[in-house]
Amino acid sequence: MPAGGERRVDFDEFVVARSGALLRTAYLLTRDHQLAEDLLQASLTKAWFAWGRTHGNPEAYVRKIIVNTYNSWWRRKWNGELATEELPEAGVPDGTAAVDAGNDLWEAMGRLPRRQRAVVVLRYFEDLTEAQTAELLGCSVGTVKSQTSKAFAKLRIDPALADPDHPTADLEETS
Amino acid sequence: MNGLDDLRTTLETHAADVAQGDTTVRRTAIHHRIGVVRRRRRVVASGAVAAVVAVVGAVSLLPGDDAAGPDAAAPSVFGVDVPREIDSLGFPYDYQDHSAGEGRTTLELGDSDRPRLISWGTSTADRVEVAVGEGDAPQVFDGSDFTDWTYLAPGDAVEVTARVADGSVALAVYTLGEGRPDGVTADGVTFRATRAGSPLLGATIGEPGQNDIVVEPTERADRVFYAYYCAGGPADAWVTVETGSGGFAQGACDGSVPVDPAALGGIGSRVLPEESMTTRLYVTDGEDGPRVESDTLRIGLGVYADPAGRDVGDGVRLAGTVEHGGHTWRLVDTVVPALDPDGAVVQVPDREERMIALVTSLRTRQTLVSYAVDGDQSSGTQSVGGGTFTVDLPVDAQEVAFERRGGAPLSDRAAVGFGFYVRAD
Repeated sequence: MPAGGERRVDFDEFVVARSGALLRTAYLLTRDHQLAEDLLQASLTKAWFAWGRTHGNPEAYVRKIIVNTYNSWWRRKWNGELATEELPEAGVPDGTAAVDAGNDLWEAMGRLPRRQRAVVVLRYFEDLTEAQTAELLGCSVGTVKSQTSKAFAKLRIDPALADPDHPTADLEETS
Repeated sequence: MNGLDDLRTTLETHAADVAQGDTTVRRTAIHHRIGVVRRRRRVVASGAVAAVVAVVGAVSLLPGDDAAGPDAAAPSVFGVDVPREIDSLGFPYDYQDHSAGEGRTTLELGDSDRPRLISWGTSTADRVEVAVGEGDAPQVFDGSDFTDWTYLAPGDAVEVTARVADGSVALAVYTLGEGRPDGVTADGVTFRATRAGSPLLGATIGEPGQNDIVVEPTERADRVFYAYYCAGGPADAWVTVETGSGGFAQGACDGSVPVDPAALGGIGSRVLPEESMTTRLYVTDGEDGPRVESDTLRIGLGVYADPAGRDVGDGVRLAGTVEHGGHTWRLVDTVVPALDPDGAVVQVPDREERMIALVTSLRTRQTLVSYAVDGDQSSGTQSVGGGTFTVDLPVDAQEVAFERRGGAPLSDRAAVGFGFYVRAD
């Protein structure tokens, strides 16, 4: 483990170099600029405490924290209704992103359950393999496949994309 | 262009829209957060309680230490008898050891697979600061004579420190005893006959390796609370609780086997007259896989009645009785403040006794929210989408805030209610 000063320099250099890319992932998950920044900062804060003790690629490690933290924000147990009745699955565009006809797919993605949305972002934005996605999410490759398949099925029948000629009608899972 | 190309293009286009803030500002903000986290590490089940390292008068109680045990005689300090046993939510805890000192005392506790209670007494002071673990934010309690306690979840070795402004102070530790309250008990687990004053309607504790259990309550209730656990499954095990109303809850099977599942929280739901009360819990290999086959799998499910609580305004409901930190609490005061885009601040009722606050929010959607006590944000957890925070209030607390910490401003439809509770046990 690096000494304190060295550890901080290394960490700070990582923040400067890579936080921009990680912020994009956070935004695709949260669909909100402020939440994305907060998710990123909260995740980097967690990463600090293990900095220098992790092996391998620190960016992959931080990305894993981002996804887990994102899930945990909505996972708290409730005194109220069943979690599935109360938790906001549908993302709400924050109004700062441009909305045009080409954004049907973006809006439909906002209606995906969080776990499916995370799989789609990791597979088709981060270009992770199924195995890498499974490792990051802490699940099996089979679960990644089924979540991807479910996500595509939901997108195909989403009202915004219901036109059979819409390009997403061709969505198919690829390995 | 095919569907996948469209998908990738959409993701890349929207990712490129993200405003990249100033990395210097971000770096500074992260280091501020690191400082806050450092101060509130070492969390116990009743909330974040931090500690001051003290070596004077320390008593070691480490694994294998034969000097103390459930049969150890309970002593007297300052002329006050230290109880031999404390009853917490129906579970008996046996005296294990204590320490005492002038102004300050410390107990060093070894790791434990059983829950423990920490209690305290003072010679003259009416306030005591008790800290568990590392950090610099002790919790302020009444200077009671071993009539109050805080719950310490099973876990690693930890140091507990108490300080008073004047006179002497003592700490005592109690370990979960062998007795169990009425209810359903098997395999070291007990679903108590009551939870927060409401009855257990039915419970099933699976045999080791059992992957599917059903609870068929003998009585009906308008609302129910499901307490359950799943432990010992393989990495990809996935637990589903399926209710008679068609609702369900899912999650990873990554817990440990609890002594008292009802104390760990759970989920509640309405039950309409035409709906079945029968509830099922099963564990699969992944979300869609076959039932898990594992000899180490342990599952249990209890169904409790769950009164709807008092409607305190704006649709916010607060329970009349709750459990927290090894105690039962009753509602004594409520406030539903006007909410501005960044939250609201309310005054803590002027009462001498220790209180907790439940802060329940609704319709907060894409806002990251938390709470603060007298401006101190360090012990607040954060959440998106509303819910309930349980806040341990220091004895002298003046105000509690519900705060937006990120995301969208709170909308006109959002609501928050504060409920203040005093001990009922």
